[in-house]
Amino acid sequence: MISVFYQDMPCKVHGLIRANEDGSYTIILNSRDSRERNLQAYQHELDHLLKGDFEKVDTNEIEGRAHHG
Amino acid sequence: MGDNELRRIFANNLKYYLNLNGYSQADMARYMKVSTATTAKWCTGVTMPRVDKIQSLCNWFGIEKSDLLEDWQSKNTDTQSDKLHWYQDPETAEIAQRIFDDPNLRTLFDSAKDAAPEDLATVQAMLEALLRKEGRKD
Repeated sequence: MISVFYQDMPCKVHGLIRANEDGSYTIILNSRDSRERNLQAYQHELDHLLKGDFEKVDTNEIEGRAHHG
Repeated sequence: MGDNELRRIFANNLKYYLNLNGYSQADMARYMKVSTATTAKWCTGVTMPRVDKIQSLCNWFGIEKSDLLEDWQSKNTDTQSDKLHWYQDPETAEIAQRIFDDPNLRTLFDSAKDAAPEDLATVQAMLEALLRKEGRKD
C-alpha cells in the first residue's frame, strides 16, 4: 500500500518516499509546489520503488541515476 | 558572458533535458503553447524564452533554473561516476545517507541537487516529529 500526503517542506525538497516497517510506503509531496511539480515528484518516488532503490546502498548514486537515467 | 554565449548554453542545456526526458521540440511547443518555430529558435540558440517561460520549462523538467542557464556541461568532467552523484554539498549527501540508513526513517528524496544540509535536516526533523506522533519513535 502507498499512502500519499502533502506537507510544507523546504522549496528544494519536492517529495520523499519512506519505506514503512509494515511493508507499506508513504510518499510526501511538497504542498508549496505546483500540481505539475507534485506529479513529477510522485513519479520520481514511484520510480524508486520500481527500480528497487530501497535495496541499494548509496543514496547519492541512487538519486544520480534517478535524475540522470 | 555575452548574450550569444548565454543563448548557446541555454540551447545546449535545453536539448540535453529534452533528450533526457524523451521529449521532442513539438512536445515542448505544445506544452509551452508556442509555435515549433519558436522552440526551434530556442534549441538553436537564436532566441531565449522569457524568464516566466524558463520557469515553466524548469517545472516541466523538474529542474532548477541554473540547470538551464549555467554552463555545467562543459565544466562537468562528466565521468560516469560524476553523473551518478546527485548532491552538490557533501554534507547534504551525508544527511541523505543517514536518513536512508536509519531504519526508522528509511527515506529517499526528490530534491534539488543544490539542496542545503538544512533543507534535509528540516525534513528529517519533520519525519521524526511525525513518527513521534505515531508513537513509533521516542
